[in-house]
Amino acid sequence: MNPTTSAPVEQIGIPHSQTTIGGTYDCEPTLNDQEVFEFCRKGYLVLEGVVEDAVNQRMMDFVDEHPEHQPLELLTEDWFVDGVFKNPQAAGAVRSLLGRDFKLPQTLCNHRAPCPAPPQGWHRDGGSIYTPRLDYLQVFYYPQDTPKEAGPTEVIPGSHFLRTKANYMAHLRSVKLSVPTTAPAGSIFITIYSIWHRKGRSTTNGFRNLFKYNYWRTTEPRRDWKIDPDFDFSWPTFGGEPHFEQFKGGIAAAEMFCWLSGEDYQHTGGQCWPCEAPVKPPACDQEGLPNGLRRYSEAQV
Amino acid sequence: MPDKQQIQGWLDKLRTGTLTEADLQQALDRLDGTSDDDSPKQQRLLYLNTGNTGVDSQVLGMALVENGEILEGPDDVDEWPYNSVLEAMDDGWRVIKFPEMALLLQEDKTFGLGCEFILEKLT
Repeated sequence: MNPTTSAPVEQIGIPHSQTTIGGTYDCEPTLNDQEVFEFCRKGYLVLEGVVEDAVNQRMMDFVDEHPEHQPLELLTEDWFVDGVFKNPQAAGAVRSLLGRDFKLPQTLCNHRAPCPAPPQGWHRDGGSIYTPRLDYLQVFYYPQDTPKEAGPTEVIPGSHFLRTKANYMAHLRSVKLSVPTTAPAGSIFITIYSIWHRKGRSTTNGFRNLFKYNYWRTTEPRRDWKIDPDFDFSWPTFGGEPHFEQFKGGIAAAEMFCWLSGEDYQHTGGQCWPCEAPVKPPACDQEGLPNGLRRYSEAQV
Repeated sequence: MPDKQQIQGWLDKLRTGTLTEADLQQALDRLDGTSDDDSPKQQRLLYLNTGNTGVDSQVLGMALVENGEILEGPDDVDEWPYNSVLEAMDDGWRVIKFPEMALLLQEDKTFGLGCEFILEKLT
């Protein structure tokens, strides 16, 4: 990891007025322990309606004039960079996951899709790898209302841990576990890059616009998001994950969470952390929970 | 080649005194392979992704290939035609590929979407 960048680092919370492509940015983290853990497990996070209406409207006017796939002039438009890339809620979530001084997107594209249209094939994007590291995030922005009829992106929660190759997924169609990212205008959703996704079936008329871009880590991982001293890591409640062998999805999420926290973690095997909570979670840390995540003083040796 | 169902039909006709020369000629044509009913059958494919390798396991994903099209299941998962491979088999689908067990060589990693069965029907 190279913690230095050639572009200037902005001060926390101060909107930038001279946009530099690929510069770094910092702001206050907005996610707490539970939200970061949930993100590791599901592989995506939807922030509904966080971009101001005025920015969304300007974007819709812009895409009418610039319908191309890569409208790169946006990268140097302050109203766009400040309103979308540095949107407080979205950037706060990115800051929580990638640490301070994360690198802003260097490119972007608009998945502008004519409607109506059949669903796209399931895929993971090119360059996907499988690792507990989280060095970059793929982020999507809807400038317009995107109900089911407009063909929102569908994702399969937890699928960022399902190994496959994009050309070995082409025969898949309906997936019971999939979730459509239906959202109002101004919504941003953040994903782990290898998550399985596709454009959903659209039945309305017109165009669906969806911007897609990546942020990058520049610092070593630390648990420096919003710490919740009351959050009990020991006894998670994952619910059903029928596409994984029992506990396997949770173990993969725990590996990623521990990497983000800077904690050493090796799954011991058997019924240890992160096994799901019994009906009544006991007042102790689960065996195998890394020291830095322990809650009960007697276990903090 | 006449199948069991067809022979049973002729036997029923014989018993009721309705078997005709045309029926016997049809049987002969089928043995000769000249009957229209023996035209090549079209293969339909059903992909079912399940939670485990049991044929009674819950279906997680599906795709249907028929009439030159690859089809989704109904939007409402409660309206999917089969909840398990077993239900599909009971409806006449034949399993032609079982889940790929070779992937278990890396048992600490999870591959693909559950366990994939491929079934066919000839119509």
